[in-house]
Amino acid sequence: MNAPASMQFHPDTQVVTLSGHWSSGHISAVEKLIYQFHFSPQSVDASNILSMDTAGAYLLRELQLIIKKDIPTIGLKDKFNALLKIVSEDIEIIESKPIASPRGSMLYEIGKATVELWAHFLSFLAFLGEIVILLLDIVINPLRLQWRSLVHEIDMGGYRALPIIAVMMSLIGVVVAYQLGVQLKIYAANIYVVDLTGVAILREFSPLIVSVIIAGRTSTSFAAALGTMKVNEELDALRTMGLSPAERLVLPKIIALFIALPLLVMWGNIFGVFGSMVMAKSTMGIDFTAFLERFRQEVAIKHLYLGLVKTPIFSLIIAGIGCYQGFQAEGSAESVGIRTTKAAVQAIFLIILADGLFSIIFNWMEL
Amino acid sequence: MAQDTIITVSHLKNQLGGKWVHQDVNFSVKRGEIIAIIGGSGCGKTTLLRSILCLLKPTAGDISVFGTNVITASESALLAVQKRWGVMFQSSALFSSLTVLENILYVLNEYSGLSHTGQVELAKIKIMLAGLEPEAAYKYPSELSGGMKKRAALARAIALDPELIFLDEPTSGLDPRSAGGLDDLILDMRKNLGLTFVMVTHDTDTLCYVPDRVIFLGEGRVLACDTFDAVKKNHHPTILAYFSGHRMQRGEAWKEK
Repeated sequence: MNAPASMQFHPDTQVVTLSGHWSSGHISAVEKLIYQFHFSPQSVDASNILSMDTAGAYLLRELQLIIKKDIPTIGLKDKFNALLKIVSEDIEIIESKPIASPRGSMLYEIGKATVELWAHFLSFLAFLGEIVILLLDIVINPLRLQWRSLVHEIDMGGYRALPIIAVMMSLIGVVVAYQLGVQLKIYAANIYVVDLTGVAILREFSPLIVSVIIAGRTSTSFAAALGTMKVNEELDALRTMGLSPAERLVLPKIIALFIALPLLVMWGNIFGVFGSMVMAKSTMGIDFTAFLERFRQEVAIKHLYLGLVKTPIFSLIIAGIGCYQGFQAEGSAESVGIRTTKAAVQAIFLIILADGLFSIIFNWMEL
Repeated sequence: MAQDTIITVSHLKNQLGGKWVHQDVNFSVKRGEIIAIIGGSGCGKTTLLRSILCLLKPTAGDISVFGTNVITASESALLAVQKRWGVMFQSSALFSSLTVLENILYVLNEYSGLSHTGQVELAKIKIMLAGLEPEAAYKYPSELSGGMKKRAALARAIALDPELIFLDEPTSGLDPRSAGGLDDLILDMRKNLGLTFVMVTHDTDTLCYVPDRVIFLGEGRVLACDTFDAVKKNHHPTILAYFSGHRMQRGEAWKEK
């Protein structure tokens, strides 16, 4: 049943005989034979072809072209002949107007990338402007805000992130206390672990780690959700109803994260300090009461404030980048994927950049 | 050989979300036939199609395609069947990140056994067969109009020269001229390539022009299975209700002129 397509040249009779199934999956061997064919036969006998599909018809036509001269193909069944005719006509049309894959020169690509980069920069500015105006609008008239979706976003991006942040920050606290403890033991200065971990967690670790987790968790989810809506024309549907997608979808997300992130950082502080407390007790013998007493005396409240003051900026970066990238998706499932990746990468990059700037500014202000 | 049965559905039962969609569906399709499945919304046309395509495991019953029971078939037996059918989905389901040509090459590359040049040539032939302009080959699905998308989806469905093609609402969302073109295309392909078609459609013009037989699905079973004209004259209340809408009536009046 599954005899592959085959082709044989008989030198004595000068006849090429074709046989077997000339259809997809059975023709890889015969294709090679056809392109290596260099005889000039007197006729082609196709009466033994058992089945033929368009792929087979295409190869038969290639064979006829390679033999060139008007060699008759005899014995081809009527329905295969009809198929061959259709395929030949189509190939002639295709070859009569050559079409090439549109791909420009390198200069063209560089120019295109530059223009696109500039257009992206402008559209980002436009997006920022729209958001600022909407925020001012809300300050004047708070009833315009979608309170219901605000609460929903706080639940999704804030409340549901509590467990992961508790676990991550406890571990960070343990690691920091352990590393500091090893060094401090050498100088018999065990108790300083409290001051050092306290300041490090409140000022740097908690805001940074929590923001990075939320960027990975929430920024990507904003980008994917809005990107899919854009591809499905849901954003266009909103616009035709006279509703602004930025106001309905973006604003609640930004405000929600603006509220939730400082709270999450505070939650992270608690677990970070708890982690170092556990580590201080088990490796350095500092019990909980001594730790907390020392913490109260030595860790100034300004470190907590300096940590928290960064979070609103981080929250704007996370939500803004996520929503902006979502809006930039177009057309395909792949572009949603690319935008989601970009949202995570850019948000984390900008958070670390902003954190660096904060350090410089605090240093300069001698805080 | 020409009249052998290629799809047999027997005693198919499907329960979705606690509701019986199919209670006892039986029908068969012969080689070279064009079958249309019709019925009111929610009567399980798409579920039936999905069951035949093995995208949904039926609650009970047997479905055999090309003599293979697709419900109990092994992976390799199923693959052999899958290579012999092509599917055109309602929303075209073209891979959005690939051009039309790449969409077709994707299947050809996997199964055809041709060299790359041969595959590209063959893919272009498929594009022509589906009635698209060759220029459409390098376009992305998002750059195509609705009618072109349908044709591109058809080109991908016929990539491997299947013997059996499933069409889910092939003419929905098309202007009358494109829809008519697609109808002719289906008839031409049956004539030239000897294909069998199973389609789900609501388009009255397609229904009276294209299919050999119409299967009317309702109340969880096949209520009628005959030519379109005969089904229209059926006196089953559900069928009467289906054809009593003013669009069906107007279509009739227009045809009598």
